[in-house]
Amino acid sequence: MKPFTYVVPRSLAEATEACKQPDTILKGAGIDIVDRMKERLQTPAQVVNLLPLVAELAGIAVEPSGELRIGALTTLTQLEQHEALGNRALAALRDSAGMTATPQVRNRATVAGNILQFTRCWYVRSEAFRCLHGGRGPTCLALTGENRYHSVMGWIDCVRVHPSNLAPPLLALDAEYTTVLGDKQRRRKLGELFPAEPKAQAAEHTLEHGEIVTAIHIPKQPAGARSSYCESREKQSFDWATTACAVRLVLDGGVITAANLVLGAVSPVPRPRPDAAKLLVGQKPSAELFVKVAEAAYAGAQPLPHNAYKLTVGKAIVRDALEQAAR
Amino acid sequence: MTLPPDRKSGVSRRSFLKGTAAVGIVTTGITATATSAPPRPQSFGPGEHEVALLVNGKERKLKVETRTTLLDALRDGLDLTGAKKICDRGACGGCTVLVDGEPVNSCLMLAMDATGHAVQTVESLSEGDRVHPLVNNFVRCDAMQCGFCTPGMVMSSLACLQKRGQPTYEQMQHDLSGNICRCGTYGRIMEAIERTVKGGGK
Amino acid sequence: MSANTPRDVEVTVGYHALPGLKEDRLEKRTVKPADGDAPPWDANTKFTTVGTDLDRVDGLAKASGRAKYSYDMTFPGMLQGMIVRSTAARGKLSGLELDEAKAMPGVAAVIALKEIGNKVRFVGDAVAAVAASTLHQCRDAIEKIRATYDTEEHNVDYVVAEGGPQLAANGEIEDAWPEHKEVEAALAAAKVTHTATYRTEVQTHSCLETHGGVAKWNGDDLDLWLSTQATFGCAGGLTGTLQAKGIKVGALTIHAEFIGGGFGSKFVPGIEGLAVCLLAHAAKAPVKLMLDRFEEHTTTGNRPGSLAQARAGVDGEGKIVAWDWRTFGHCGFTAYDDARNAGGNVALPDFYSRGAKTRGGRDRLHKEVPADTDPPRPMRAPGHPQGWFAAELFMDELAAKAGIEPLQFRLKNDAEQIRQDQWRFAAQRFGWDASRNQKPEAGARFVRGVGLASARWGSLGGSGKRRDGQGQAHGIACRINGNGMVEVRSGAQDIGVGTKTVLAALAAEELGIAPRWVTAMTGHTSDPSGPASGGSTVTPSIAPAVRHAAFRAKSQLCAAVAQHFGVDASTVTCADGKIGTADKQLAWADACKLIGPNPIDVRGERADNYASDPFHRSQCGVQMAEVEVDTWTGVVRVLRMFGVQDCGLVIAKKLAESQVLGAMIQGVSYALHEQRIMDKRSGRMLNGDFLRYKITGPQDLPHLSCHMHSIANGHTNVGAGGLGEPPSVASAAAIANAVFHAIGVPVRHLPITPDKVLAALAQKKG
Repeated sequence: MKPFTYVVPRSLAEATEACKQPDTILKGAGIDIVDRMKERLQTPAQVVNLLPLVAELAGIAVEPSGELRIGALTTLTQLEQHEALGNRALAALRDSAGMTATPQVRNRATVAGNILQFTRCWYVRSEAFRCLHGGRGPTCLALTGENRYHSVMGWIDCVRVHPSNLAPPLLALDAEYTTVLGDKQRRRKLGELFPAEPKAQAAEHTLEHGEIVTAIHIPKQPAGARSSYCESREKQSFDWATTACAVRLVLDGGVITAANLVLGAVSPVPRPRPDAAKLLVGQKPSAELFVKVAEAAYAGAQPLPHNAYKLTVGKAIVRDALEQAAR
Repeated sequence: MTLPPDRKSGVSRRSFLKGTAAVGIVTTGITATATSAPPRPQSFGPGEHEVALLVNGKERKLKVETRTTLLDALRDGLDLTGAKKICDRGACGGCTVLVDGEPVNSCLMLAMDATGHAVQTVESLSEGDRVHPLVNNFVRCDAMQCGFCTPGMVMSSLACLQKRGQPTYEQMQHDLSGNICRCGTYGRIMEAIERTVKGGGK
Repeated sequence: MSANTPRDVEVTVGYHALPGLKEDRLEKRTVKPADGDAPPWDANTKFTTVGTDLDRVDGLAKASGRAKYSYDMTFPGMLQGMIVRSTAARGKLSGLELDEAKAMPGVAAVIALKEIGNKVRFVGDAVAAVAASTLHQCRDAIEKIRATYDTEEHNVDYVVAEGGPQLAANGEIEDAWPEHKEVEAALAAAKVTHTATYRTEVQTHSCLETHGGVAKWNGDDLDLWLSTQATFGCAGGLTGTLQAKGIKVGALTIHAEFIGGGFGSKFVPGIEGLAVCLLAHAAKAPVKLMLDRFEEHTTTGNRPGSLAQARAGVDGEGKIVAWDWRTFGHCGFTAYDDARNAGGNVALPDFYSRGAKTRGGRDRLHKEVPADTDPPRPMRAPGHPQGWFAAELFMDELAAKAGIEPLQFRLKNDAEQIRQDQWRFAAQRFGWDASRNQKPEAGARFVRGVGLASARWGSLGGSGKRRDGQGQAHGIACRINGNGMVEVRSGAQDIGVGTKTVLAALAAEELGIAPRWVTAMTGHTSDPSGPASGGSTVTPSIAPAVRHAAFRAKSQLCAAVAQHFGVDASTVTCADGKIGTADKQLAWADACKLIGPNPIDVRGERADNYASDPFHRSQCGVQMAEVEVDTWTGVVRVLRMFGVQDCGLVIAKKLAESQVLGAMIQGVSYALHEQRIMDKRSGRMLNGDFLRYKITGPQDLPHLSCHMHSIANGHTNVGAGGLGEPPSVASAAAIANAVFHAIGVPVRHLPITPDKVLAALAQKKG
């Protein structure tokens, strides 16, 4: 890592103020950022540490409205183990938190950090390569290089995949997020956190410089809601997902009355698939239905030379997620 | 950093909020004053400065840069070389230490972020003649070969035992999933955990 | 046991029947021990310590975190070192500017490792090195080093490499076979023939402790803590290299008491071993230089990838009558220089084809295929896991075509008696028949299968004495102190197999005392010379030397007791912690008091092997595996594995089992998870970390069990075998066969990742 000044704020106001300095970044636990700083991909002159702000920025609370407020600095372990997530409606979020990375990482990695983290494309994450998304080269190297772990849909000029396990379930649960920028606070639907057009030159998220995510909100889930999260891997112990799927089904009298379906690890941003989800509405769960939905979820995919397998595997994972939610 | 529920070791949320000695960062006495200018946050570095770390129950003072990881602080600053640098990227668990009782990758943690927390390394499990039963059981079950992953495995195993009391096989696999062994000792490590549960190793 | 060497001794070699089988395989031999050597152990020897469950003697040091590896050494004023590496895959160094780096804060030395005009041969080739107070400062300084290259077009893709075969889209080698009339006639006459091509990818050793060390000069003397598996080889090699560079070297001592893995990659000091010595010399301060994980993956060698194609035929009885192979090793840049010996050999079993027409040893078709990558280094059973994967899967495919069950096919074609017993025993223990005959439901998502494979390792510890590069015979030092404590020392290393424990166990057994009296030390070249940890020869090589040393020490102690009692030395025995005659005895501690202030200090050596025929000349084993395949996602999970492994005399039972179990897990990893992935355009490894270079973890762990097959082979006074490599040979092959059984189509390309399984299943459907 290059030398940096480490700012230890005592309030959000101090943190935001510190961001006005040039060449400054924010850091939570740093699981992603410290890694990139070791590679010297990030060489800030100043790092603002958000960890001292756990009092206001961590913790899970159930609001009177039934909404769940998850502080941005809540760790994945805390999220996974919190009793408020111990129900079928929020199973997707709990399960995805519990299968992210390793116990050691989960004990420190934060919810916000997980959602905001930089992609794990092996080209952009190495200081030896200069690519468009990394802002140091003219093209996407994975597009014409080794792309077995890269996108199969929704890519424009960069085939990175979104690395967050939490993002698909959060989207499936209609999550929102609150940010603070200066003295302005905003709350928006989580989908707005990801670029609508995930070009190479777009960051993984839409935050402005100095804008701090303070909380994630999960609205009170509809009665009869069940969610699930499944992912495929090459090995069981600590591996990045090759495909992922989060679903939320609302069942009433054995019939699906509403459905959300979001794919992960196959696109530069988490991918809601409303057209596929629509096929579920008004239907009774069945294996045949799930096959149809899985096909629709991957309809229009544009696989790359080395990752066509993701279509087969991805559809199986969609079927698994649906079966698990509908069980 | 986790804000742990009340634990026997480490800092409780209450004392942290009260801002007691929990905040182990060496301060220079900067306090917020009631003026109209926004308060300036504390900042450190980029050069070396002294910090105090609570390691294995003792306060240890050492010099670190802001870019020094907890792993490097332990190994190079305090000669606690049990935790190993194997991948230096949080992928293999060889650097695992307990922070406030929870296993973390010390290679991804800035030393400064460890101030105010209780750090426990493998060296704490053997002092003079006293050896923790888990460590004895690693020996008894031959849960090592080259031994380089072993300290990290011991710490993850300790955390598993402390969290679960009587872990199932699947739970052991789960709790060790962040630790890589190239020699292939996983099975015997789990036998060592089981033997400890059953009271062996004393 | 007395302390005299008998003349001719009749020994029983071989083994008692494996559990569940009827026949003992025991034979008599007459051996002539060398003068002064310990008399031989054999199949009937009753042991007190050897063969028991004794604990690893350095286990507590390791589990407590107190063991200091090279990586852990630190000295006052020690600097850190770092190597500057080529970003070009091929070309020449055209410029190297070091001055700016030399002026950076904390920098104590900057040295060039290449000269202008020198070739660079792969991404990662070492160009220069820096020593500074901290690693951060090294990195800061390295950014100021300007290295430029005249680059040439490079190739890191073995599929299109120079001299490689033509591969069809389906992976089959298309080139015509070189003519061989006998083999072709036999193929033509065979009842059933089969041909297929098998492929493996590059596997890196992935030692957890990276390569490197700490160098500390004291005048012209050098102490080097080096992470190595060849203390004497490296000491000799480095001395020569340093002297050739004009550096005066007095005594060079290597210290390697604890090593965090080697697996074959640490026989040589490497550029990092040399660089740390040069930096320390230039900086006049101790320097630590350890590679980082990316360097470890890309500059310390690997198990080369391979291609192997077979064509073979069987007769109406299922006997193999024709057996023809051609193999290719994927070898890195050294294969440009030497197309035959670049380290890419593919070892194949020769015992299935004893009755068949083959091309014969001298006409063996093998080629080393070069590319602009880091060359291979020996890796745990070099050539064997890849060759056995090809051969054993081919055997199962050939058997399937001929309508013969795989176990029966082995029994029919493998005449080795030991393996015949092992096949039958393993089948019983594993429940082979029941698992083999299980039929999955039609259209089931999860399908299971079982597979088997042989293991064969050619070395039983070599024959006769081994001498290190300096002409000194390998030896063992044994010291008995007046307080009863015994020290056994070898200058060779324990890379994790338990060499220290072997030393202690053998000495304790020979002296008739409990192991707690014995301490063992390895890894310092100031102690007697010993072999490199290669070829699985350390244990069989030094075991007889330990006995010899202990035997000699015992003789001296017996002589002291004899004098004390006023009897003839030949009447004094030493056993069960007591020394004396039938009438008068001293307990061990009391006997040792007679030694006085000067300990008994002897040196033992390994005598030449006994002249008579050993029981067998190669180590045998078999393994079986059961897998479950998810046909929807292509994921393979190994459910269980069982192995039976011949290891000569089992000395430390738990440790021996650890080797076999550990080898099996490495086999799972090699079969399913590991591969080096290169970016063709840049020539750089893309997965040089532990995120995407995938090593099997605890949640991928099958249920593992093994049976140590103790065989008295009669070639030395101990008859030990090595265990580092033999069990590695079979594992991936057994798994590949299990996958074949589960899904009904072979996956002929390791690692068996989900995409390959899905492709095979799709092919089957289509």
